Parts: sequence; C-alpha cells; structure tokens
Amino acid sequence: MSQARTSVARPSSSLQPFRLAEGGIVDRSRVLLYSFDGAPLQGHLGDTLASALLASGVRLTGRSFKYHRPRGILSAGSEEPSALVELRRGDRREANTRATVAELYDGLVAQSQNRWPSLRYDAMAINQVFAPLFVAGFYYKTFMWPAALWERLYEPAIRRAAGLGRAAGGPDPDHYEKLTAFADVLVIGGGASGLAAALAAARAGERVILCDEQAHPGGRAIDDGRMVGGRPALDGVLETLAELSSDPRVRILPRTTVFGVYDGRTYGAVERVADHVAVPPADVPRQRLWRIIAKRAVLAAGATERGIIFADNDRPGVMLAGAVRSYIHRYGVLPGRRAVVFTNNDDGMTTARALATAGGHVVAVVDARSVSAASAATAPAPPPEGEHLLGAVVVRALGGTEVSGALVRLASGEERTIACDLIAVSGGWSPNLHLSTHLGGKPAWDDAIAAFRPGEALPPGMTAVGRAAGVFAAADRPYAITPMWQVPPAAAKGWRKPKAFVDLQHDVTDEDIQLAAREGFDHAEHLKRYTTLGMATDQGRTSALPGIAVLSAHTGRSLPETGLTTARPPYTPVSIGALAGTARGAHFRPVRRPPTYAWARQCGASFVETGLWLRAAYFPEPGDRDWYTAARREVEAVRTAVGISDVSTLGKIDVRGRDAAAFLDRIYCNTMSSLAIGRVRYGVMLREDGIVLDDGTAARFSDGHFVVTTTTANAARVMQHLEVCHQTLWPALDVTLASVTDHWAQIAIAGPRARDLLARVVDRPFDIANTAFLYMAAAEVGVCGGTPARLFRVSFSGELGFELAVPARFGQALMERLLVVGADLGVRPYGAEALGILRIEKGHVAGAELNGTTTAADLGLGGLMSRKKEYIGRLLAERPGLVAADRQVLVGLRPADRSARIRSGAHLVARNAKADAASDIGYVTSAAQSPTLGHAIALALMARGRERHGEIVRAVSPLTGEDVEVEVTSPVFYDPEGARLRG
Amino acid sequence: MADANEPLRPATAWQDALEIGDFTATPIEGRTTLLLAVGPASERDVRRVLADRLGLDLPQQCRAVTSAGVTLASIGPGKWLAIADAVEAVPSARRLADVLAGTLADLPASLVDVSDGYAALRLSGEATRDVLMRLVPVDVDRAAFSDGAVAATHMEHVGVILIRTDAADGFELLAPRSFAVSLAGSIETAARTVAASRRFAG
Repeated sequence: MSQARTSVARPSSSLQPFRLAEGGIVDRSRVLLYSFDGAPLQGHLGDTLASALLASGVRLTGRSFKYHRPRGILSAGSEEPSALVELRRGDRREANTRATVAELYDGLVAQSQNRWPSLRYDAMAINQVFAPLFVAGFYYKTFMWPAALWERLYEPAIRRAAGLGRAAGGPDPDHYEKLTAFADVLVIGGGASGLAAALAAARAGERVILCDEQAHPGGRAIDDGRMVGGRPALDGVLETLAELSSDPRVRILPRTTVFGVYDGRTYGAVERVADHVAVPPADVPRQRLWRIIAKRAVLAAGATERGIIFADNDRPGVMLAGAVRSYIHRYGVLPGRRAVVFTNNDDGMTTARALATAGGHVVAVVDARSVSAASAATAPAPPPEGEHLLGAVVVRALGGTEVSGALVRLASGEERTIACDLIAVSGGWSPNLHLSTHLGGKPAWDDAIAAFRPGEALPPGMTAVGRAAGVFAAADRPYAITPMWQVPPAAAKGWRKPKAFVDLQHDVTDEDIQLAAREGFDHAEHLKRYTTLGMATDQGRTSALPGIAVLSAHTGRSLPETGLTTARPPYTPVSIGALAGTARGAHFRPVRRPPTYAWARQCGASFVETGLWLRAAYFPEPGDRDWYTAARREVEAVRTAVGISDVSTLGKIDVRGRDAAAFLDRIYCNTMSSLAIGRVRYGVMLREDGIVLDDGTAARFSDGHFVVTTTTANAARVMQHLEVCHQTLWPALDVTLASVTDHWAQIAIAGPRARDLLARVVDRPFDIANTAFLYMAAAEVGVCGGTPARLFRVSFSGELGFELAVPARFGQALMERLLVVGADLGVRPYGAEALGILRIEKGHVAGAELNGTTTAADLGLGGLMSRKKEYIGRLLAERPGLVAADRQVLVGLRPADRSARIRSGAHLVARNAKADAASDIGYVTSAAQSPTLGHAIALALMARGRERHGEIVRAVSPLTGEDVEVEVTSPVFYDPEGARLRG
Repeated sequence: MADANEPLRPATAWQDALEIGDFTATPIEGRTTLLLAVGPASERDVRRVLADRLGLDLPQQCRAVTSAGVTLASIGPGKWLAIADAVEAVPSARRLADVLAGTLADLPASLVDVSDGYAALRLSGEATRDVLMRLVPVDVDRAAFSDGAVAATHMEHVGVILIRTDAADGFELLAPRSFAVSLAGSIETAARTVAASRRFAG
C-alpha cells in the first residue's frame, strides 16, 4: 500500500489559495458560493464547510465555550469538538453544527458563534484573564447562595456568557420521518472493512443494509489516498459500490449514522436526507430516522485519532494528523504550507509524507518516541526535507488567532522555536467501539494500539472488524505507538500560565482534571460529571481517553484500571425533529372520529378531545352569546322535549360463551348471572386493590351473550382487563371477548318525547310502549325499514331515555333521519357539554369521580357489592382504610347564595376553618351551572359527607381566589325518585 | 317530512382512493367481516367441521386463506376474521353469519359481526413496501411475509391488521373505523414522502 500522487499545491483560484489543482473527490467544475460571517466565499461540490473554509485560508471558526478562546478546525469528521458554527437563517437556523460534517451547498450561510462583537475581537475573551477562577466545579462552588437567585440571575447570566450557538425561535419548517427496516446483515461504516463485509454478505445472498456517515462511502481508503494493486483505492471503492447498488437486496445509505444499539437487535440510525441542500424539495424529509432490525451487524465504524496535550494545543492550525490527510486526499485542500508534524507513532509519518507529496513544506517531524523505539518500528522513511527530531516534543503552540510556530523541546532538553502555520498531531487512534458498549459491553485495553477496543461481550449478533476492532495492520505493533498523552509543561514564564486542553468543546484542561482528582473525584465517572469532560455534543470522541490518561497519571493507576466512562446512545447528536418524525402538530397522535363526525362538523359543532376522540361539545346557533347559551338550549331540549347525542365513544365489548355470565360475575362487584334475557343492568367493576375501575352497563341478549359498555376514557383499559383476567386467571372458562366499539354507532335519545321520536324509526311490529319495553330493557330491532339495530332503554340524563345502536356506516344517516322525523317534536342534537350538565344534575358519576382513589361505597354504590360471590377486588375492598368511617364520599353542593359559582377543583373546609391543607375536608370533582335548577351545582368528595347533608361549608379555590359558602346536599339534584326515567 | 322507512344510506369509512406515484390505496366498502373466536380445546373440531361442511380451510397462526369466496385470516390465538366480499352488505353479513353459526352451532365458538368495526384498504403498486416501512414495524419482504401472511401490528400506535393478498405488492389493511380518516392522512403523508424522495434521490 502506498500513497497516490497528489499534484503540487497550486491555487486553483485566488479565492481558494489552499485548493490543490488535483486530487480528492470534489467536483472542481462545480463552484458553490457561500458565506461565513458575511464574507462571500466559494468552494466545490463535495466539500464540507470545513474543507471549503480551509481552501479559502479561513482557520479561525469560532470562540470556545468558557474562555472564548479562538478555535479552528481540529478534525475532518463527526468527532469534531471545535469548529462549531451556526448554519442557515431564520427558523432553519441551527446551532453547534460541526463544520466538518456540514456539506457545502450553493447559498449556504454560516456564522461563527459565541463571540461579540466579532470573531476576531471578542470582548468575552477577557474570561481568559480570569481563567484561574473558572476551574472545575466553578459554578457549584460560586453560585451557592442565595439559592433563590439561581433561576432568576445566575443561570440566565451564565447561559449568555458561556454556551454556544442560538437556537432558532420558531417551529422547524422542515419535516422528518421514521421508518423500520429489516436486514440479515447491517454493516456500520462504509470504509474498506465495511465495504468488504457488505460485499461478502451480498454475494452470499444476504439482505444487507450498509450505513456510512459521509456523503461518499470509502472511509480512510479515500482519506489516505491509498493505492491498492497499483490503482487508487477509490477505484475499488467505486467498483464495490457499483456491484452493491445493482443488488436489489442491498440498501446503501450514505449520510447515515448508526447512533445506538437497542434490545431485540434493533439499531437506531439517522439519515441526513436533505441537509446538503438549502431547502428540501416539497415532501422530502430533512432527516430520516431508521429503526433497523438486523440478525447480524458488522461494526466497521473505524477509529478516531486523538491529539497530545500540550500548551495552547487549541490554536487554530493545530490539527489531527489523519485529518490533514483527509483534507488533502478527500477534498483536495492543503491545510497548511509550513507544517510541523508531532507524533508518537508511525502514522504521523504517513501524514508528513502526504503533506510533502501535496506540495506542503514539512519543517520538522517531532517524534516523541525515543531513538530506539522509533528505529525498532517499521517506520516509513521521513520526508526528504525537514528534520526528524526523535525524542522531541512540542511544548507549546505559538501564535494568537492562528498558529505561527511551535515551541519544541529536543531530546537534549534544549528548546527551539520553529515557525509554521500547521501543527499536525498524532497521539494514536482509538477504535470507535461506542456501539459495542450500548448494551452493557465493556471495552478491553490493548497495549499494542494503546487504546481500548471492543471487549468480548458484544451486543447479540454483532461482530467488530477493521480499525473498529483495533486491527490496524497485520503487523504485531500496528503503527509502532509509544504512548505519550501529555507533554510535561515548560517552566511558566509570566503570571499567566498557558492552558493545555483535553476537551476542546467544554474547555476542560489538564489542570481541571488534576484539580478534580485532588478534590476526590478520581473515578472516571465522577471526573466526567465534575469537570464535564466528554459531556459536550461530541461526547468526548477525541478527549475521553487523553482525559483518562491524565487522571491515571495523577492517581498512579493504570489506564485499564481507570477505565473508560460508559458510552451511551447517541454516538453523534440526533436532532429532536428526527426523533419526533411525523408526530407533530395535527399528526402528534391519531384521532378517533365518531360515526357522526362529518355531520357534526357540517352543523358547525365545536369539538372537544376526550381521550383520542373528537366529540361534538355543543352545537352553536347564530346569536349565541357563548358556549353556555348553546349547552343550556341543549339541556332544555332534553328536559322538555327530546335530545339526541352520539354516544358511540362509549366502549362496547361483546362477551359470549357458556360461561359468559359466570365470567361477568367475577368481573363486576354486582351479580350479572341473575340478569334476565332482554334486560340491562348497571354494573361496577373494581380493580384488584378494591378501588373502582369503571362503571357501565351489561345487557343480556341470550343465555351466553352479553354486551358490556364502558366509559369512553376506560374502554381500552377495561378490554385489556377482561382479556388479562380471561387469559391468565380463568383460561378454562368458555368465554370469548370482542371489542365492538367501532362496529356500532350508538345514539342516545333522551327526553319526555323520546318514545314518540323512537316510534317513528323503529320497525313494526316491535312495541316500545312503556309496558312492553320497560326501563332497563334491551332488544334487537330493525330501524328505518330493515337496518339491524340494538335498542337499550337506559338513561344518563335522568329523563326517559334510550340508546339506539346501528352498524357504524348507518350512524350518520340515522342521526340525520331522527332530526328530520322529530322536527315537530322539538328534537335537538346535544353535545358533551350538555351531557355533562345533565349527568351532574342527576348525580351520575363519571371520570372525575372514578379517579382511581374512590371505592364503590365512596360513590354511594356500596349496595351493589355482592356478599354472595367472589369477584375481583372484593377482599382488598374490605381493608380498614377503604371502609374507614371518615372516608371522603360523594355529596352534592349548591351555593348558599344561589347566584354564586362553584369551581371544579375547589377544596372544602369547615365554615369557620382556615383555608389550609390541615383543614381540608374534601374537594369538588365536577361543577356546572344548572339550567334546570337555575343555580350552580357540584359533585364533591367529602369526609363523612353523608352525615353532613344540610351543613354549610366553604369551597375554596386559591388559584382563582374564590371562597364560596356551599350547602351539602344529596348528589342527586334532579328527580331523585326516578319517576321520569320510568315514564 | 321524509319517509321514516326509507332505508338508511351507508357512509363510507374512507374518502376517495389515493394514487401517488407507484402506490395506490383503494377503499373496500360494504364488506362483511365476522370475528370467529374459538377456545383452544375446540379448535380442532371447528377446523374439521368448517372443512367438511363448507370447504373452508381454517388457517394456521398469522396466515390467511381464501376458499369458497370467503377469506379466513388468523389475527391472534383462537381468533379469525371471516371476510366475504359483498355488494349488499347487510343481507350478506346475515347470510355468512347464519351459515357459519348454523355450522358451528354445537361447538364452543362464537361469531361476532365486526363488519363496521374495520375499515379496509387495498394497497398496491411497486412503492407499497416503501410506504409500509414508514407505517408498520413489519418485515413485508416477500421472503418474510409471503402471499397470505397476516400481521396484527400497529400503525401510529393504533392496532391494525395487514394481509399480503398476492405475491406482487398487494396488501390489505384493516384499521379500526374511527381511526380511518386519521390513518388515511398518515398513509398519504408516507406515500407523498416516498414519491418525492425517489425523485430527489433519482
């Protein structure tokens, strides 16, 4: 393997003085115009923002997080901790984008961040002067008192001064999507190893998904400009990609990062579908989240180079040595003209030669290895020009906003200044093992590469290959590394000691780590949290291991003893938009529409969400003052004539089988087996702990056939409860369950004229006379000339009432028919608001009372609880706490001053008690302004409430400042004898 | 006043058919669907009786078969849907129910009319699999989900049933009727995204 020839640096344009005339995979015929901090610049198709900036000679890209130090481009990939910029404008503005992964497009607008008034002259750089104050734990130590100031003063001030880019204010104008894919083999990484794995799997007939982070797969085969068998490795990459693309069972996903491994061999990946264009075309998602379920996975994610810690190692112009090669070979850009290469291994030598071949001047290779270590290595010869300084180190980078030289300490101890504009640093390569630890795997230390590699226990189905597995070459000592993590600092001159950075994104220095260790935070996980090392968006890709090395040196423990912090998903940042996918705005969650939805919409009804259902709340008419005007009109129609309402949202469960009655006896606290065929019974089911689960009705159509109704809110929960009980508790019972909520449209017909209206649609000869079809009767009937229907004589309103069910497709037509044929009876549709008022007037409990804290007895339904049979919840309902005399029970309330209002949620206290928690004796669950009674009414749960009827207490609502005297009454305000129901 | 005895006009669960790129979703209305629930002890007897008397083949788990004009689809342990195409929905539902009920009268099996509980869509076209990738977490590759395969799965958190009706890219989707309009919106979004993404990549 040798390097491809790259032509001598010759500016291809005066605007891109560092662009090489040849080489790389950029298309020089396509010029893209973009701007950085307002300056118009140009690059080529295939560039990243970073490569284009370097081509133009722009090296200062931003200011650092804490000290506002000048920062530039460290790497050429997703590990970048330093060159973070704001991209785009307006609602598409995105902060903290790595310039090294942002693909250039025509019209791209980029801004540096965290600087004021300008990048070059940043006022906040004064923080550097006070740097001795801003040590690890600074915030914890400083802003301790008074605590009340934290939210109002400290945090906003700190967030303004520290921190990076600005988030866009408005909603994201782009859209995102999520999908699920299946594969036999998922290949993570499209470098040489990944491509080989994909090809082998594809040729074996496997279904393959290949994900590569970059726009163009090839990995370091391209970055290193390798030659294979006398041809550029790129040619081989292209041939492999061509073969893979022609296979319909292979899916190649460029610009896609696998960011997490989850249970069930599930992998999360994000595809940057249209990040490389200014605005995605209509209906094209900006990003796409993949859930990939793969039988096997090949981790071919490569390795990440780390630097060596020395003073001012964050100056723009200090770059990872491998990244220097990427810019030369992938992008055709020379990152510097006069370079010092600082290395502790042979790989640095490769960079020196690449620089020299591309026309750069390598002034010196500063090789930290001793003479013997370096000569024992199979090192490629140093470039002809420049010196190879063995046993030497770079002590400090010189220069202000850009590197202007390197202070080098020779093996002899002598220090020398070497002028240069680039310091290429190679501290060794760390396998990208992150995905191997997401399910708990522990990395293993490998002396040969001076790094951790994936351990033995990989996620199920995963294999690691190539550099991700720590395999760098066939040789025993892959790249002849002699670990050197940190250069011993030079004797400090002057009062300000230069800083040496470990974590560039969070401005963590070697001294911060040592301080943390001195203060007792000497475990890797403690260190991370105390100093925030590796906690930035780059997740410590370049800093974790050097940080651990500094800690090890301080504590005297070995690196494997110290260990790495646990890598968790995501491997690289994932935008919230991609995680949300299409679930936003109106598509946040699906909605259920009742059968009469379209009709209600035409009527101009106002809708309310109950659970997922969109129910008609009320039907306004021109001239209505407010919603209550409509609701009152609807209540009055029910009380004086007839109202109809779509109650299809109630849960309906068909229960059949020889043991159906026995099954329901065990489910309900009251007895259902004694229910006669053709009759309906109200029932209450308890949870195992004795608290009420739900209430509703059961109708019996034959010996072994019941239809059970549930409340709207609990429909799914009750169905699940019944299934669990049948499948796990009593599988031997001959019972089958079917949810028929969606099959039936059910319309409530209530009011004194309900029977008159019903008579006009029910087919003869069925007799609905009061004597023939009694209160709580049920029957299968025909309506409107043959439509099959079920008729129930039940009432939630306290009036003569029926519920008529027809197959859902006929629901809307039935609603319309009833309105037409009942016009002379004064029929009106009523919505959920009127329904709520009617049931409060009648004292019926609903969701607010069935709130998971109430027993049947609390709700006045204790009489239903059978003593003759076993049922779910019976035993635990007898617990002392659930039968205590002072439990809060259901009562009615009306204001002492009838013109006053009562608030739902108000708490009850005795007439002359203080309105505080200690005096609390209950609370209002449901409240309404009763049109029928002409004043406010409410249902409440109140301690010893049944003994208190007639007493005056206060309903206090501290939120609204209301404090109202109310009289405790029976919860049934309307027709307590029930005469109207039976009329 | 309108004639109270004029038959009620059925409403459709879905709106119009959807055709976007190489994907088509066609509503199937007015069909009869019965839920056949059979206890584990009697499954063998029910299978024999259906085969002997009606020539109907009760399929294994996660499979659907069509014979004698009726599709039987397994949607869970002991549960099958019996689906019959019909123009006149109601009489046909009665007919199918009566025939099955008569046949199974002595067996511990139940039949529930759920014709209006499910809204059905026929999905077809070469882009169908790409659309389904965005909607259901099911491997619909032919090797994994062959002709007659059934999946009881979820779409936008809603329980749905997906059946592969033919070896080409033909599927049937059964969704709870009340969710139909909402899910149709999700299907349309997915189909538009597929078509636009193909143009963008292509």
